[in-house]
Amino acid sequence: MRARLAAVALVALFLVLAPGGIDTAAASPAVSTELSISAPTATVAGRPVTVHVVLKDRAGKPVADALIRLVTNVTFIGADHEEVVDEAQTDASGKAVLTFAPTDTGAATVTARFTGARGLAPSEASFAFEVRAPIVAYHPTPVGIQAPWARSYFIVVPFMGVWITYLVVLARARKVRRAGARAPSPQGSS
Amino acid sequence: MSVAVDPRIDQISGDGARGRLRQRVEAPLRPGAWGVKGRLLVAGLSLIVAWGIFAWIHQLRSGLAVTGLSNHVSWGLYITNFVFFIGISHAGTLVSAILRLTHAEWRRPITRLAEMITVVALVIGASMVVVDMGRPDRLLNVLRFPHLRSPILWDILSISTYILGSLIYLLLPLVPDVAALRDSPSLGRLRRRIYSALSLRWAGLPAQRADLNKAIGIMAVVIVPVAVSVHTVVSWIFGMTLREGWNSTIFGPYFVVGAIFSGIAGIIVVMAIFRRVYHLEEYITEKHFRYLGSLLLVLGLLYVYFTASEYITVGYKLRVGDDALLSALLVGRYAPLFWAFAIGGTVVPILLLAFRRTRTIPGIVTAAILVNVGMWLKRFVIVVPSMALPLMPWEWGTYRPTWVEWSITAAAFSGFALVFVLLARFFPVISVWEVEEGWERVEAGPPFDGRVDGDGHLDGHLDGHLDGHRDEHLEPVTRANRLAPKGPAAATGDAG
Repeated sequence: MRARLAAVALVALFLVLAPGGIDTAAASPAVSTELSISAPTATVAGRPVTVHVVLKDRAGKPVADALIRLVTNVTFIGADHEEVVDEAQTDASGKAVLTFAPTDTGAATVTARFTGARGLAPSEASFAFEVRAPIVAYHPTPVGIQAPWARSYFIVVPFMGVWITYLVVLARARKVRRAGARAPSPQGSS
Repeated sequence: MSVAVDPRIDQISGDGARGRLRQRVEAPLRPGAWGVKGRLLVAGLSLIVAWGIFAWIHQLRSGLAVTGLSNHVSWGLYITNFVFFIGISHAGTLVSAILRLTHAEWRRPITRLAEMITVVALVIGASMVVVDMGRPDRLLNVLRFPHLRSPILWDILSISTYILGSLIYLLLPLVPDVAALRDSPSLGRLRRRIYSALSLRWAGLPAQRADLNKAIGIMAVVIVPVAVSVHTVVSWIFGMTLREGWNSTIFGPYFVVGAIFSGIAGIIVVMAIFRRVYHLEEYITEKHFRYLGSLLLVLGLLYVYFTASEYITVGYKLRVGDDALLSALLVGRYAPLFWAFAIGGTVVPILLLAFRRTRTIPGIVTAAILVNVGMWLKRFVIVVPSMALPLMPWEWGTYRPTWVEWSITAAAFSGFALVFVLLARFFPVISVWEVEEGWERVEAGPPFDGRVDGDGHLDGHLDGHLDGHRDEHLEPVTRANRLAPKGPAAATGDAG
């Protein structure tokens, strides 16, 4: 008798500790869910995109507190793999808001995924959109060597110096003329 | 063509050398001295200039669409001509100012020609920018809305400063010579009035001489940095741009060396023409050609060095864009022009100037002509290929100059020749008073004893004797030979 009780206890313990535990619902079929997604059809690379999702069960009843993951395909070292870019819980109305910023231009697809829980079957929905190159606005930010003290007079002053020298030379030429005017015969020989 | 000269001039000798020089220089200025060939030359040049003006008016009326320029290749022949003529203008600075500052006596007979080249080349070169603009009225916008960070404005400031300085530097040494012409009865009344206005009432007084020499000395000092700044700033028009072929830190000195190189070549060609046409063999001697030829050789080697440095550093790194440009220059569509410059414009002239057998007047003049042609081609391959190279993945730009651009280019060169010829028709091409001053120094000065004078300069008697030849005025000046009549060869530094 004692041995039989021990065997029943072991089986019960096994059933409790087995991976996934005892799924009482497993016996009954999971309730299917439906995930809907909406997002802008086009965006600009680098700009955050807001994705709205709504999770409902088969009866059209919103599913609250369900974890929704937003995944996208990325290529890294020649291989494609999925990357979770955001995740959020649905609210009482079954809605969740997720954001991500695409970096590559061209056609892109994001997938909102519900992995299933509490007797609800997993579901997912994808959305395709276009990512355009950003139009870079001209921002006159300072570039190059910054020298606030190097004002325009650094260019003007050397030229002014040369022009003043020209005036000095022309003043000398005037002296030549004046000296000639004082000479006894202005038509003197050279 | 040859200017008619009174044959009796050659019979004047001894103490009459001054008179002979004056007559020789003034002969082409007299009415009727040029003859039919001279008038035909002026008429021919005027005709080409008139055709060029017609082409320019056509361009003004129809827009730059009548040229081969486009939004891709927006600089072509006009900017090539601009850089070329600004380069030629360095002749005056180097030969006149630098040689004056270094007390090189042999410069005296050729300074006037050099100073004339500077002024004429600057005016023609600056006008090319106006032609390139398409809308010359917009030139005023540079002054109305000045942007002092723009190399374009620096360029306008430095070139206008250089033109004014060069004009002053040309006119000041003219004063004593036009004063002599002012008193010449054989010249027309109007002309004598002009000479009188330019002569500043020159009477040859010691005070006048002192002031004039002081003024010329100041100008000689100030014009050198101005000239260097001009071609540096011209190079910065390119060098301040992030564009393949122009994005270089050595463009400033590279352009300055190139300018002096072509400037010396320019003065050698002009010297050869006037020596022959005006019969100035007695004053512009083989020694002047050899000295300038040596300078040309040194500058040529320097230019080869800069060119190699420029292309080797670019070719070693071979950045994207630079590879396409180098390939187009060395083996592609611009290869014929590039190699014509490299071989015809540098290697051949350097070889002609390097060997004693070819370092003759014809050899030096041939080298100078080749240098001028080569340097024009070089400016073309600096300007156009970098413009034609696409900055984005696109096709190369194409540039084929139209008849309008060729006509205006021909007019620019003819205009240069015409203005020069007219200047030479009205003003002496040799600075007579400076040559005479050189004679006076030779007659009055002590013999050269190998010492330097108080200013740190070699004594003037050494000038003109650095080529290893024994000259007559290198001999000790005794009282006897000091009083003896001196020929012009003594002051022109010619070995005879």
